[in-house]
Amino acid sequence: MAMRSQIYAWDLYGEGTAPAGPVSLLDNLSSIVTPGTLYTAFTNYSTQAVTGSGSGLGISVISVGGGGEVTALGVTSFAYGNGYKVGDIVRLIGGGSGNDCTIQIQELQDDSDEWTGPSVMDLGVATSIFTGGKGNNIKNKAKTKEMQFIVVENFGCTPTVFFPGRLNGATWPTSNYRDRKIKNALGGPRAYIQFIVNTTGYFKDSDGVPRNGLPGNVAPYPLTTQFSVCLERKQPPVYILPTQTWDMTITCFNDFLADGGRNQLHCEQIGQLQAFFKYTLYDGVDSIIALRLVESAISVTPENVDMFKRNLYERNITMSSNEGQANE
Amino acid sequence: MSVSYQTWEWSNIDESQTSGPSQKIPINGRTITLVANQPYDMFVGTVGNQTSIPPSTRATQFIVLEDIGVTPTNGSSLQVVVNTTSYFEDPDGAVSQGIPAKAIPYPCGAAPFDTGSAASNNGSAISIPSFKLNPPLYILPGQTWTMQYFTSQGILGGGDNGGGSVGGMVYYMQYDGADALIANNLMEMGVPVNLDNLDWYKQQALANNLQSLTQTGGVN
Repeated sequence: MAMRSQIYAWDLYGEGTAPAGPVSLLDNLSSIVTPGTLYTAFTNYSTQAVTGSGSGLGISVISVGGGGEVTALGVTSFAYGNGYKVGDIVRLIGGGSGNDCTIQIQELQDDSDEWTGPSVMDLGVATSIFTGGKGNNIKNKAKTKEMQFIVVENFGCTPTVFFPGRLNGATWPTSNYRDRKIKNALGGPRAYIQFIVNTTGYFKDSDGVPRNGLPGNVAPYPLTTQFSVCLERKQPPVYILPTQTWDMTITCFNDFLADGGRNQLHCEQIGQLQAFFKYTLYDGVDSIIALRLVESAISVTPENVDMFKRNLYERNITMSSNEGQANE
Repeated sequence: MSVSYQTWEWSNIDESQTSGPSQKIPINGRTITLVANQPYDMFVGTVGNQTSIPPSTRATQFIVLEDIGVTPTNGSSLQVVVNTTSYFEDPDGAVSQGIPAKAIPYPCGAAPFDTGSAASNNGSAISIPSFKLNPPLYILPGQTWTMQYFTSQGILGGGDNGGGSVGGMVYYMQYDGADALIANNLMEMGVPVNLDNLDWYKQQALANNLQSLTQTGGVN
């Protein structure tokens, strides 16, 4: 049978690369890998990456020992650098030092909008989960061949809970409500998913304008005990006709992973922002039948395709019998 | 097929902060105070994300509201208004404030708000819809409709977590063109308007047409 189920799951951290960004304040004890020699207290030093590809970080040495070994340091104001990852090692250089003090990056600036990488996403911007450069992606744009017909039947993305505030007696732990932080009175990304077929948004608002699409709360993924009651609800099938290019975008509006005021989502582990869909791929003859069903304005489902085939065979047998060609 | 599924999610988050390519919803928006005992329109009101025009059905459209939901706070409810008539009434025929929020929790599985319940406060409790909207609610061609949120206790607005957010949702199917005509026919026949029945009607029509053509020699 030339129809088969297919699934695609996306995670903002699915590519597995930790985000990079400006460096936060350093913790002296855990940051200093090699104290070095010939450093001077109250002096600013530039740095050179030993591992990683960050640049621009400045370090102020606060105190040194008898041999000029660094005992306390901090990030120089306005020299937080960029492109650093947690775990990167840099060397303090210049200023007559031995250039042999190395430190390890322990933390990135949580309140920065300058993070980069595939696990960092701009809020308010529709991002393709296929080729958007965020999370796990596919190499090429999705496109149906001439003899293919796709029906996306199930889909969803990370849902969000609403926090109605203290006035309603809600005494939620805002730092850990259902394993999430509450930020801006929302427990989640306030994510929307939209299918783009060729250049047109599939889900429209009531005024006919395709905007962000379907909220994750209506189509939650994953379905958990707390987000499973929607199981009975039908999901709108999305038809992708032959030779159409298509995409699925996700747009988020709430910085629920950092401090609640950023214009980026900084994802640092898998499962924080996800999307998923399941579709049926009709191929060959089945794609032609699917098109015929669409022309007849009948839903394209495996059952209806089978029904069409059965009717075809029955009619064929009847006609053959009438013409005396059927084998008894 | 000219049947489209649509949803609308509203919340009391300041729309005026909207910027960037994705309109109507702000980034890290600030919640707005909802005054107690006052209805708030979810589509063309004064608070939260809004559409450019009130929802309405054209002459060749037919809408079926499949599901509605709202954050399950104490004393809040959701009312559907068709033209100028509120849909949900009390048993004596008087207009009610609508469906209580705890009967239609949104998102599905949201914890019901109960000041005395630890399970509600830490989110381990879940609430499920108390009923299914069956028969569904039809919006006929030419009608305008909207939804109103009501709270008897009020919601305090504010930035960060200083305020509270509530959200409402409607999930509906819009039948267009020939499908809207069939939907009207189904309604007149007393048959529920849904996709299965729409398909059934079309299959019957095609079969009848084929039979008619066969009897009149229209097909070989």
